[in-house]
Amino acid sequence: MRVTNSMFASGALKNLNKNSSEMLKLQEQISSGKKISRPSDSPMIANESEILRSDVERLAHYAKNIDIAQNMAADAETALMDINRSIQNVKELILQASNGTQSLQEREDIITEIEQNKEQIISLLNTASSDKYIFGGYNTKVPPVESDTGTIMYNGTELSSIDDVTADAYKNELVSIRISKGTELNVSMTVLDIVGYGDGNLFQTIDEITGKMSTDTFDPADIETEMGTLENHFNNVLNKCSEMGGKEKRLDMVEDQINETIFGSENLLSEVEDVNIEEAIINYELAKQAYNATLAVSAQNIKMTLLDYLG
Amino acid sequence: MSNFYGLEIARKSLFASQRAIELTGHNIANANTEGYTRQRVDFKAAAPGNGSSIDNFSGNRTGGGVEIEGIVQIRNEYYDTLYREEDAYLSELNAKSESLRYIEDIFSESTESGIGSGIENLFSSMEQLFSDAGNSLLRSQLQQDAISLTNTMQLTAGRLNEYVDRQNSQVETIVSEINSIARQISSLNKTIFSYELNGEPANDLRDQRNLLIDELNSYIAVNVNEKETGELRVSVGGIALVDHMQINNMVLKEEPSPALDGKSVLNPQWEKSGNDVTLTGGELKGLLDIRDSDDEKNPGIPYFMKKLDTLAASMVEEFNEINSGGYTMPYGTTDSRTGVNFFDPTKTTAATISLSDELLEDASNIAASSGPVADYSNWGNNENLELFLELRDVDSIAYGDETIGNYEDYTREIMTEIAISTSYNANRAENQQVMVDYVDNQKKSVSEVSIDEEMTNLIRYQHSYAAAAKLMSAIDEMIGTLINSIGAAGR
Repeated sequence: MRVTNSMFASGALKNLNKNSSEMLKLQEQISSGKKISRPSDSPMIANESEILRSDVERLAHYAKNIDIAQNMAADAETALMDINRSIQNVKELILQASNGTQSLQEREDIITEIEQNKEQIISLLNTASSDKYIFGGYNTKVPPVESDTGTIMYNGTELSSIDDVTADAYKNELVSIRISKGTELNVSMTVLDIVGYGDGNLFQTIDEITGKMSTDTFDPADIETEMGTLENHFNNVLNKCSEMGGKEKRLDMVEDQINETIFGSENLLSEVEDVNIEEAIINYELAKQAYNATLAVSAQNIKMTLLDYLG
Repeated sequence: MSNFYGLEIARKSLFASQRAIELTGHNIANANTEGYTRQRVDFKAAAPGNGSSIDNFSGNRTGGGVEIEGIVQIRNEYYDTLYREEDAYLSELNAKSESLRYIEDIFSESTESGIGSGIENLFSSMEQLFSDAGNSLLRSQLQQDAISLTNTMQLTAGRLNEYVDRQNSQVETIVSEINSIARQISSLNKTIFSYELNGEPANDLRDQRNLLIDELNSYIAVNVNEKETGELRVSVGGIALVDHMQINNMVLKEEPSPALDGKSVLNPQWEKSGNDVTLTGGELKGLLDIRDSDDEKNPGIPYFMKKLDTLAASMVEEFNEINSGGYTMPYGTTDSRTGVNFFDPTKTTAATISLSDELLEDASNIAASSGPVADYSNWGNNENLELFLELRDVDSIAYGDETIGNYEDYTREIMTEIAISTSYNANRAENQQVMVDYVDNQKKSVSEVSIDEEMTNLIRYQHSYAAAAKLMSAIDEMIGTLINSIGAAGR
């Protein structure tokens, strides 16, 4: 092939351009730490890293949700433990009153103390976690339990008048949280789960006992059935307590899992999109050598002309 | 007179060498002129003159020295045609790949403000609201995320629309450039034709014309035919743009584009016939392909616009169905109600999508609850919200005959499609550049001036000039000897 002077020149330019753009690419990779700077550099890598990144972001959100749920569960467990203690108090007070030596006046004093414990239980059932009532089912806005001149109301309905059908509807009002794609964990518990409803709910049971205790002819044998019911309530709250504890443990486990997955995904993400610095630097050195060689050879070739040798 | 025949040969030789040296000078002077084709003097041995030599009668006739047959350009027409074919394709690919790069930037996901992350944020806010449906702070957060998503979609569609306008004005510039080059070519045709009538080739004007055709060809692929008689025709898609001295101008017609929802675009047409110009390559074709194509295999702006619009329309449909099926929160004097839309149902394109008036007014209109919300009931009800969350992970959403799957995947797919066609076109352009460079090198290898070669020629012609001069003086001496000596011997 016939070679002309300007072919040397344009060839040198073209090759220098090619070498320097390779160097620019490596420089970009090394300084940004990323293999690609725009999706079209490698649609495969871009797509994969986009999927991983959105996974990590979603998981981080779930971790946040779990934080909220953990707070809620911890608040609920504390409240349940306190309710349990109050029922224990009530039980002890009733035993004290059942002692045959107590006068009616003394029993009245004990009843007042029992009423105070009842108030305490009501206020514990109205526990709020971050401005949200946790035992009211879907009613998170107003205190779920109210005492209207002695009548106990749940979400505006008289507690002792609630039947099974209504109760099931209420109990289904579970506020759950999302802990992963499509998986929900329910951390809530309603007042009805804790103190019962209709006949024989905790408050009615206590009221019946105190009613019988405030008569002159009070005989401890009269309240044996009610005491049995109270004992059941006591055990039920204890169970709920450990149930809530179990949920807390489950939340902790899920949290650990999520954190591990986030860690794994982040590692994978880094593997997909981060540049291997050692490799990049070696490639850069190679590109630099090629560039230098091109410079040297081109400089020689462009200079050469027959004119140098003619007299 | 026969003795002077040798002098005549020497004179011809001197003139020929001189012309050759002049031409060498012309070549050297134009070594760096773009489009210049090296020229060469064609020498020819002259036939012996009649009765000019004493040997005429013996039959041993010597030739008549050297003659200049002509000055020709060294070029290979095949490489010209090949170069134009490859270069038109390169210009087309470059235009495409630049446009796609720009579209990629418009959609850019890496800026953390793309449509994909907008949808992600919206659903994440829903997931947070899910654990506390009555929380007005979380509701406002969700409302803001929805507003910012609609803004991003509007912005993206708006920028695509603006880009179509910019491409239209680029088309306008190119077409007026094409017409201007066509005019220049036709006037060169006239000059070259009249110059060449007396048989001498107009080499340097032809170089100019070739350069203009190359330039024209990078805008719009052309075919070039030159008749035996020297009339040149430049045609596009079979229709003559320049036919010898006549020009067939291109004009632009403003038409509504069916692929772009009736947005008006400029299309090149022939002024005389009013027919559309058939493009086979060049920058103009690349631009129009990207502007007009809604084909999956060769996607352009309308294709991606259609995808965006499908996304918008489907979101309006699905979100409204869910939101209007649930119950809103009471606020001010407004009670909890059902049948409230999430997005404005009359605005179903990416360019227009916006929240419903109700949702813009108050975030309480996000219908999270499956039942009426009042003081004791349903503040924390998130059953309707759950339907939104299910929407996030399904893979069965469809709109019309387009399968969407779910919105996050769909958006990612659009992004990936853009990235793939951008990188595909960029790679093709890169490969095509190699091809063009190769052909260009072949072309230059034939036509371009080599200084070394010209220097060698210069020395050659210098020597032949010196030899011819020597011949002249030798014959001069011979004649002198003849005249002087013959006289002396007789005396």
